[in-house]
Amino acid sequence: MGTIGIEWVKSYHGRASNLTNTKPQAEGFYNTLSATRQFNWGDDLAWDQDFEQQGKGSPTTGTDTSWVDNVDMVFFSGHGSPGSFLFGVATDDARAKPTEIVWGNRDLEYIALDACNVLEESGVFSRWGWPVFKGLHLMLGFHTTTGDEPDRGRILAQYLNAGNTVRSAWIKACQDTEGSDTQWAYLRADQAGTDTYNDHWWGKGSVSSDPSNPTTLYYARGAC
Amino acid sequence: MNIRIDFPQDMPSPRELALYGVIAPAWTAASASKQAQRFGLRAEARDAGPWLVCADERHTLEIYQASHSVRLERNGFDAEGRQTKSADPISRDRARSVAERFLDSVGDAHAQAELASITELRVLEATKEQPKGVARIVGLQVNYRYRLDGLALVGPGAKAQVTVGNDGELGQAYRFARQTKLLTMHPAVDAQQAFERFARSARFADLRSDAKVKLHSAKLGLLCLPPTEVQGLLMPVYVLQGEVSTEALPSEIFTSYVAAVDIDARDAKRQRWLHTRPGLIAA
Repeated sequence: MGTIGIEWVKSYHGRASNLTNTKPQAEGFYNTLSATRQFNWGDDLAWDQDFEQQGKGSPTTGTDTSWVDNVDMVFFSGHGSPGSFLFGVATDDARAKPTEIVWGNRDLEYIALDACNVLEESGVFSRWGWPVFKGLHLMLGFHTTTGDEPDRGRILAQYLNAGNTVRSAWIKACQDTEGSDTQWAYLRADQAGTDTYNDHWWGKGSVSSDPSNPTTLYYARGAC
Repeated sequence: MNIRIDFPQDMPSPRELALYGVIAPAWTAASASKQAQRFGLRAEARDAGPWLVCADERHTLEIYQASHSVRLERNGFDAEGRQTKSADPISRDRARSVAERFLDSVGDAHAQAELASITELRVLEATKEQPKGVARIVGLQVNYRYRLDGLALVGPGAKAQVTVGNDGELGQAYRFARQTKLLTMHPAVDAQQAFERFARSARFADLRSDAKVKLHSAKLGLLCLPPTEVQGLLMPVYVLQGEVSTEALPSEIFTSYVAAVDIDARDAKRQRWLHTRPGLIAA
């Protein structure tokens, strides 16, 4: 059985507008997926450094080996933009930025960033692709803005539990919970001998070996 | 709240709005199999929790047990165009024709479909030699929305989409819908009152005085929840689209739903109206 963690932010303390549904959205995922639950950090206990690599970028306070890169799948729910996703408190700088992130060099296979525009197409490989993927299989997100809604995490988990591939489960969960003006997106990595296109959640089908030094990255997007 | 939000002054405020009740779906294994036959799919239905699933060697049909919604997929659809990298995209007319065939097969939605857009299913592939990636269009997506008695059905639970691959065949499709019946007319919340409630909502409570909030549009609609969710009423809502700007997040585009009728929770229970205050309603 795989391991999971979630982080969510409702209260942005004026840094950005508050959100209403991030907690039920992330906890819906946490409480539904057939998995071992490792951590649930919300609001002022959700920190950007939990996602960042120690010693990388500035500030260099990353602790992902204890948190995000220490489980198989993570779900984040909060505000985002193409260059970062946002937190409510500045224990570091309140932004998780790709210049401070390396994922999969310890454990992480899948991450869902339920936040606006993080996977906007323009420049996505140089932003979130080559620097970040070091064993990570798939990053799930949105090309466009997305809604503040409560159900997507649970629905994603239900599709994963039902044996859908990870990419298909994300697309279906987004289509079930957004209007067609919203565009889902994902990034995935492959190298010789890996097949992340057909990845499933642990115990629900095939799981590729890790693309620890990817040779090909794929980005896909479509209407919800 | 330290900020000012300018709302439209000319938004019409109806005195009352129609309440539509949702007719609870009564899917059975037999009715699911019958639905599958509409697509030429002959298979027993399997209960997979939120869905009844019918699958044969070519297609899989998922029927959402909480609504009158269906999703059809061609098994093994090449959703990244990995086998057809050099294929030309099909024409929009061809895609639309495939989409209309799907809508004909799926049956009555009890609402009027209208074409919303035709969008591209896009894939970029990057290698060490081409690190910025090469784009290809692997299919066209024909998107529909719905109206009921002239009012827009809004939210995720009333729409249809057909994805047509570059081989000209249906790859994936869904139709999200609920059967409804007109129940009664109900006093409406005045538009300005709804805007004031929205302005007082938690969303804006902590914004500082240098934040800016602009409302771009406001319209009336009937809120349709995700197809996986049980819904008792199509709640009339004001759909507000706008933008919040702060130093940390200069352009945050939002779509929010604000209740256009007040439903007393005890009345709702007596009437068996489920989930009249879903999380999607912001105020």
